Amino acid sequence: MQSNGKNAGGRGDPPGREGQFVDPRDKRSTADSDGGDGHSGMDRVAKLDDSAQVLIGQHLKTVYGEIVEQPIPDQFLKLLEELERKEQER
Amino acid sequence: VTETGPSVREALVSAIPNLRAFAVSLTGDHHLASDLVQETLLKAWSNRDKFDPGTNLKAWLFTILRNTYFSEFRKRRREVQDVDGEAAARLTSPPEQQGHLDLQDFRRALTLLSPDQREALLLIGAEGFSYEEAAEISGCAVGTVKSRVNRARVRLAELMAVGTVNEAGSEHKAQSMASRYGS
Repeated sequence: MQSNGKNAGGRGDPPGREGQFVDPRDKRSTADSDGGDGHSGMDRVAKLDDSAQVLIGQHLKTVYGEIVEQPIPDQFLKLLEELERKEQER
Repeated sequence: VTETGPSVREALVSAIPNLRAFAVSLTGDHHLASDLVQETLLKAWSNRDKFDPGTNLKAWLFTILRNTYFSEFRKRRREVQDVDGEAAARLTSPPEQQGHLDLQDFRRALTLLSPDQREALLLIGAEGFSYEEAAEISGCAVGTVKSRVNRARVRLAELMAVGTVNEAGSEHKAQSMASRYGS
């Protein structure tokens, strides 16, 4: 939390020195810089260790690949042949 | 219609294996997936003049498929939700080898993700689309895709109970290791 470095020192102006060396940018809220790109929630999500990531990736590719490798069902081939034939008849 | 290159039919045929894999994995149901692929092919055929040949046909087809699923098909899925377990079980091929048990758990875990997370994970992790392509297909921001994929991976790890490690956890582990082996 303190590792920001940006706000280390110079934050609280000592009383009686108002008006000196005050950079107006310091008043800017950090909250207005939200780009709204959806990253904000990610910090709260637990991190996966590398081996879990790898295992999940492998499982995913395996179960998906098994379906990709299956022969194309006839119904789809027939459907497209039918559509093409109707097109050519016109 | 120029007759160079593959015909529209041939191009669509070559995309079918991936469309099927996406549909089956997204819906967790073979019957629903077949209807979804069929609907996608019909829509693609009747809208083929709207496809820009300079762009990615597969991404275009995936967009049609997921839009059809999220706008029309999810209602149907809710009606058959009580047989979800059965549907997930039917997806698995018979366990010829021990290694398949792991994969069965994985398939089941996949059906337990939220549809948004499952979609993002499939597009990125299984199909290999870029984050930008996946965002375009899903109609959301790139950051949203990243966040969904990340959450999907964490959730899957939890479901399969392969180490989810947060920073506090790994620190703790390191400490207990140190106390065990130190001095």
